[in-house]
Amino acid sequence: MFTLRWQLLFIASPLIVIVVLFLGPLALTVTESFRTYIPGDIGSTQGAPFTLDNYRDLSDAAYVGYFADTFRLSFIAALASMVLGYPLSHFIARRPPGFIRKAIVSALVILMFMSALVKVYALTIAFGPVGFGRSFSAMLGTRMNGSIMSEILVVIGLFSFLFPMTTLMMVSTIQNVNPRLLEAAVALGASWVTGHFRVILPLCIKGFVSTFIVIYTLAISAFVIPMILGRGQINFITNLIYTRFSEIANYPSGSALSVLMLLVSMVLVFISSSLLGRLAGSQKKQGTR
Amino acid sequence: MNWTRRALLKSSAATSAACCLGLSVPARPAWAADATITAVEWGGRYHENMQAASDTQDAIDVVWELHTGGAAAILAKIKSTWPSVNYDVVAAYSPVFASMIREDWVETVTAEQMPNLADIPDGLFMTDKAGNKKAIPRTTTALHWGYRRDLCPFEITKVEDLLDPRLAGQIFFPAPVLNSNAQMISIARALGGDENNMEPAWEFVAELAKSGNIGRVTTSGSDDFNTLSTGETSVGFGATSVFERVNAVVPQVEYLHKMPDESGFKSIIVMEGWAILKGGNTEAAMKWVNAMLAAEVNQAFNAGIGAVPSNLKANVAKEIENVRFSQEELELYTYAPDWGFVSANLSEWAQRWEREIAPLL
Repeated sequence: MFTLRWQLLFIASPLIVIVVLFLGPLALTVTESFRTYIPGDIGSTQGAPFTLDNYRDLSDAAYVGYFADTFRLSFIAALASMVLGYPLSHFIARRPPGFIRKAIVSALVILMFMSALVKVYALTIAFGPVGFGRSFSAMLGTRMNGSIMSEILVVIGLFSFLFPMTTLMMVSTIQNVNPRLLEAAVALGASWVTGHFRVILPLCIKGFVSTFIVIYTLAISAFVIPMILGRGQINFITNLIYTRFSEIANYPSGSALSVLMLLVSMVLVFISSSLLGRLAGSQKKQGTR
Repeated sequence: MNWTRRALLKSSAATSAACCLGLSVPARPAWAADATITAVEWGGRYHENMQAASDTQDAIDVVWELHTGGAAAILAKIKSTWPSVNYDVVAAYSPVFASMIREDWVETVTAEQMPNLADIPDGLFMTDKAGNKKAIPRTTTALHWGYRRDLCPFEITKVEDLLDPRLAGQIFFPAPVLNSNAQMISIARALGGDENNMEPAWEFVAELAKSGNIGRVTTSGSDDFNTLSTGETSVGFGATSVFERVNAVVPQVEYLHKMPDESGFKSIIVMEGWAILKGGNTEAAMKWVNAMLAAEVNQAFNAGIGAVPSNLKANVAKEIENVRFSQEELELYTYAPDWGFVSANLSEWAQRWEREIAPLL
């Protein structure tokens, strides 16, 4: 058996990694966000005085718009992934092991591991002038180069990134529910859809909430998708952070934006998980009534 | 050649290592040269032609690292490790050099150390406050407006034409981080301002954004090329080399680089070249850059990228003769901003774009 010293060492090792590789850099970022930036410099100078200016600059209404775009489009994409992924997840979960199930799961895994860049450029070509971009936008009554199309493209890009992961995560949740329950509901007169809403969904809600939080977090931190598919008309906060760090070398402002993004994301994820958790509780009560 | 098991294993190991290192692929085997340097270069035609230029000499091997996004992004990478340096030579252009010189990262160069510098006009060098030569010119190029005749619904003759509703979604407009905002400086010049007075440009670009004519905000030269060559947009502002490249694919490009004063279109002249960083393999870097500046090498490189060589003894390729500016044309059609001022204001301009222009798109 391991001695107490070894046990403590095992516990301490990951903590040390977290402190050194995550909390340390995070502390540096927070400090940098309060440093004064002199235009033209590359980052703040050593020992630059502290200031709140970097945060004050971000109080402009335009930045509320960037946050809103980031969270709104990510929410739409995450929700679409859940809604459209559910039937497929259910199909996979209830199918006996065999070729079709293996083929679908393999396809999803391949899609999940396919580079986001490949997916993004495939979409760029498909929805561009050499693809069906013009006819698709005309069908929607908008212009191929308009900001509405850019929004749609970003949502489609995020959806293509999230869908395989969402589906696979939901499969494991659905598998934990006894299939006889749905059969019993249908036998007792409920329609297939009602059975899913009244029986399966309440029993899966906790797993679905966790899935949603994971994919929503991934969506709001997406970088390449809004950068390429947004065509400069749609910018996520991640894109603004990149510009500050990599293009204009204004590290203090980039750090302030990063810290703000972290805080807002944490608050939003906390609120949404609380609300969804409460919803899960009430659904479960209804389901067991 | 007879392959032994050892040679095969050695070659496989080298190939795997090169693949793992991604872009940092040694140009030639290290044991063939006197020294190895790390050089930062743009991708695409720039890298291909510079690789070909580098192959004309055996003395120095080069490990390449390519720019990602705007060339200014390299500043953050250098800063993060300074005073330790990972690069010996950095290819960039005027505004990036202004920042590097201000940070005192760049070696001073002289014609005694690098004889080919004597064939480059002194006026093209970027110097520090004391007048020491710092950034080494290899190319002079222009940034200007242009359009595709086959897609643009009318002939563009003045800056105000950009607001024409027939151009809905047809303009690609670079973000301030690309070209160091030369696009807005050119508009400011057209409307009576300059880099010191950008207000007319901000007002004009706000109108342009509201009009819906901006179909894409570009953030790299590749973006410029892709959007114009695929026909996603038909009008835009970019480097001559980008328009040249598009013209090679679709020979329908109208250059708005030598336009009469009343049009408002001004070409912005920039110098592209190298900075040799302090603390690196300086001697080898100087030797290599000097070799790259030999008249015939400089000529071949610039012919390949569609630009004008800096070496006075080098000839301009016939097909790009039209984009060369004579001394008289330089005075008539071009404008050279104060790049030191531009690089100092870039951060503020980029943030002002985020606050005032991007929300209108």
